[in-house]
Amino acid sequence: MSSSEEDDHSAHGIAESFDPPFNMPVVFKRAAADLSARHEATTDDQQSSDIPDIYGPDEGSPYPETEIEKQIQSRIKADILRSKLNYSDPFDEVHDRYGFRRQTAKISLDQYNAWWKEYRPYIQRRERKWQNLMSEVGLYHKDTTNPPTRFPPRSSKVTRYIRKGIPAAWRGNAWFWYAQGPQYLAKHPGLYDFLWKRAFANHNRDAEVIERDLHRTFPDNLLFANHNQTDDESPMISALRRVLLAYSEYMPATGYCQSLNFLAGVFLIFLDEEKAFWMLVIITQKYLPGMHDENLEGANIDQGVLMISVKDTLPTVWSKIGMGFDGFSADQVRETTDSAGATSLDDKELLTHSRASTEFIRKLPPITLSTTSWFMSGFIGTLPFESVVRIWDCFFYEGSKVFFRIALTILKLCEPELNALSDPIDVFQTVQDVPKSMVDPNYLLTSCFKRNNGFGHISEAEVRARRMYVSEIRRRSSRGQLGLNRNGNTPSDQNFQQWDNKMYKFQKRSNSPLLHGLPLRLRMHRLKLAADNHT
Amino acid sequence: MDAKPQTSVKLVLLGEAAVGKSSLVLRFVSNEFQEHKEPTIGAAFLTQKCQLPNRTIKFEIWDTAGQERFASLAPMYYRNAQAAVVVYDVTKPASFVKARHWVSELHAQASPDIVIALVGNKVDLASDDNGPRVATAEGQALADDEGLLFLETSAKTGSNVQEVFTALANKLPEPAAASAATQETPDHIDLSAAPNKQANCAC
Repeated sequence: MSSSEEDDHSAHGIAESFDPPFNMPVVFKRAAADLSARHEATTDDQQSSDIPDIYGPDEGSPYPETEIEKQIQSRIKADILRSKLNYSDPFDEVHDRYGFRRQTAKISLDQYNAWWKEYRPYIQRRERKWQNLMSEVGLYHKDTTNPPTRFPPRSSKVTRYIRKGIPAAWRGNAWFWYAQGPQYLAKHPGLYDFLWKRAFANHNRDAEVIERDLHRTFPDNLLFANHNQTDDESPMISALRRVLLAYSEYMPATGYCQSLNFLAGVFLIFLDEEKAFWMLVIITQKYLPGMHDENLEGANIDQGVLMISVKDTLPTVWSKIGMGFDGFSADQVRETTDSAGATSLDDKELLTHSRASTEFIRKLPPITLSTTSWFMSGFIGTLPFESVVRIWDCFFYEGSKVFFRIALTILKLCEPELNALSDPIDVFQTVQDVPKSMVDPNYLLTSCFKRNNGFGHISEAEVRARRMYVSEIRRRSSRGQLGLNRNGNTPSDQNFQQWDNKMYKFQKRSNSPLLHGLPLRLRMHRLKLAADNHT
Repeated sequence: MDAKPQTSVKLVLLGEAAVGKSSLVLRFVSNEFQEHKEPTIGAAFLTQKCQLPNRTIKFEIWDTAGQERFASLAPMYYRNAQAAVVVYDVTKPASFVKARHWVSELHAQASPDIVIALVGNKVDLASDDNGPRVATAEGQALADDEGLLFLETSAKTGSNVQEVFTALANKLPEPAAASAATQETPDHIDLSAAPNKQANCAC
């Protein structure tokens, strides 16, 4: 990749450069030592000398060669299985072009087929457009059968093309390219193989929880299902095991989190397992930072950001989903606990306002029990599969703002139904079920990206600023103890109120609940200033 | 069917990953079973009504993710819950330990009036050659000590699943005549279609 292209990436700033803690080509042994040091921190019973250096070709592998050989064979089988997908034609009458069942709980076979009849000519048209675009820039030749591995630099035309859908056969490579996968792979050649072999040899600590979810990953998909009725598992399941184990070795702080199985599973449908592994690293480190970590705080922060955005841009939806189970609005303030320390009427009012503006961030409304999974699983299981991959097309190209925009669009599309509800409990059902029946990705994406759609366009910088804001409020209210505020206990110490006070004052000064309208740098500065004054 | 008073009851399912929480709900709500049910991420929300002789209970069910790290979300579910089902896998003794933890957490944190059922699932898998099994007496002892309902179930065969919810419905205090109970037309779901003959609830 040329440096200008690299600049192009960083200029758009999907995320700061991420540097994994070690560099394979230098010495594999150093990597093993580093990893074993990290491993020791978690398992006491393992002596460092027991950790085999399975990578060193001279030392020989303590791990049974036959088992390694078996894994390598299954990897080849997985590649063969994947190559049977042509990504254009459905497998058969009941499965789609990715091997999933066409019929789901919320979409009938007839509904699916009616949509597919319309959609198929559309994707064929888009494929031709992409071929022309790629030929123009010399990245594709009609004679070659292999999908392209390089893609054109960012431009408004490419953005438009991506939003209308990448050809499915090129999709995996395009995700990999725009997520800067090639740089990761080039920097760490052979690391993936090292990691999964090491996980097998060392009995990775997450092996058991990973094992529990392998067969529960896309059981309806032909690639993952064990359909030959023997005891042999599908090679895709074996590939999934290796990817998740390698990830757990590489990122011990995250280890394994349910939903990573789904993310990895989708990558495996479109990419070979080494690239799938790197995509899993990239999505969790760059695009959804902290979301799958032990305390899920990254997931909570993004829910806070989403709730702020709903409150700002979809007030009628907020009036429905901002409710607690008790029927109180989540940002409603309870006089007794919150204004007890206030002396004057002014103070009381100030506190009430400031708490009201952030209460729902500290104590997320129950609707986030549903929407958390949207982000953790990248909408897998929430939306029909074609919509998921169309969203991912935009996500890896444009950044994590895409998930927020899509989430807002889904809620906006739910609005008419939500408005018709009288029982608050039906809100949960609606928000959970309506997206599952959204059969047409074009409708969803057009609604999302059209101009003047009523809720503004959150930029990547805005997402960063909001994440920082939410993270700060949550950190200060819970002092790092997530359980405290999730529990519904209201921290009532003086410091906390001071912080609220400051937030309220400069929110008021900027004339926006969210410091809207201020340049990003100034907003960051003010946040930092308030934080420093506070401590 | 005559119009009966209907009460909405918030119910939460808790228990270790892969013990069959979602499968129990799927059996109760749709009378279906999937061999490899996808793990629940965050939570799933379902409703199902249970017809008692003189009233209807509408269960609003929060089916939660089982993995340890999702436990930080749990207070959000069991806050205000009137009923809880704590599930373990009878073939996985470790999941019974986890169930104990959930019971004590509920007693410490949830509403004091909460009605709890302890459920040992996957009895269809329990056999001598299938490794250690959590003894029925062990589950019963915990239930007796803590004042819980106790049942062993199989979401796969449907055994005892309806009974869990019927037992909970029966144990829920009847609201005072003029309180929250609302008159509503009964639902149109033909609950008698459930093949589970031993069920004494009309669910």
